[in-house]
Amino acid sequence: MKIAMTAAREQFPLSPMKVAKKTIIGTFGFVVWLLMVYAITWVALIFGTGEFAFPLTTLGFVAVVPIIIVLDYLYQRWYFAAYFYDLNPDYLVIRKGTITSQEITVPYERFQDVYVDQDILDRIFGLYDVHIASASISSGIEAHIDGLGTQAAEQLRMLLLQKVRERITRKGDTQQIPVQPRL
Amino acid sequence: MNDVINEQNYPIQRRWILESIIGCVLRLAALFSLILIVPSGSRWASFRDIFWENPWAWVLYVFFTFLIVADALQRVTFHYSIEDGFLTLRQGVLTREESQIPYGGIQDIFVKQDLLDRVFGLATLTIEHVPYANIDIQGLAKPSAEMLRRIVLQKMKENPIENAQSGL
Repeated sequence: MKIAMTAAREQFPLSPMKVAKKTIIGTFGFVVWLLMVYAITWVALIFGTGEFAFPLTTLGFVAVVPIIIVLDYLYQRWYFAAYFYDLNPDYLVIRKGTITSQEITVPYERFQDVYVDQDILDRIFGLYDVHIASASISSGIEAHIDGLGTQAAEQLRMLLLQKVRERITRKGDTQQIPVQPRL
Repeated sequence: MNDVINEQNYPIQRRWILESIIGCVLRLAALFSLILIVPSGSRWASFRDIFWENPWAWVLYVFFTFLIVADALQRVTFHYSIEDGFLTLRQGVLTREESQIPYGGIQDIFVKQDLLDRVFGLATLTIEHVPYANIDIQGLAKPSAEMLRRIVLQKMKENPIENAQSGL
């Protein structure tokens, strides 16, 4: 799979651990769903036919899990390769999605917020998400670059803040360099 | 780029109506598959019962026909033009609405493709404008959507906000 390389992705690379993290999340979600179906099957077997084929049914459900892990892993590799972000002179572009796609473009002047966060799995894998928001609601949901390493996240955030500052201090304001954040 | 750009330059494709019809049929099929999965009473109902003699099925048929017609009418009545200072929209089937949107309020721009869009080579351009609303221009050819985005971004750059509104 060819990775959607851009200057920005080269400079601030996504961590390959992102694939592992997303595979775990995807598999977990599927296992929860599978357990629900399994429980429904049990109830249906008990109240419906009255035939007891539990060992065979259980084996069937368990056998599905490794297949799902492999498929999910391959899909996440694809998603990882298709993840596109680039810093144009005037705006930031982020495109996600494999078959369907969502591409958001935010000019630097319209940034309302730049922040970095981590969820529990991110902490385990050492990943960081850089969020950007303009004043619209969906940008808060969509505009983020997930799965950067420590250094890349820190540098990207610094660079974005720098670009915003360059654009909003026009009339003789004192140029302030943002403080180096401690991650 | 002083010329006015409107839907004649980057038209909403005719095949979008076809996409809309297929989308409605697929949604209808999904709803019916739910009905078919849940058995009625002790035995499965016959197809005739479900699709023909069931009043709820007719409610769905009418509803989805309405959606398709609404999409088609919307395509005919939706007009946009990218002018020097404003993005002008004219829309409305029964009511008429004309709005002039200043470029300063536009926050960000999406280009989205769902599964059917991908099949038909179409895309939706969403212009997010905070005081107004989101402006969806559906059924554009993918290259037109990208070109329009570039034009709107250029307009945003040419019409900067007096006092930058960034919260940073």
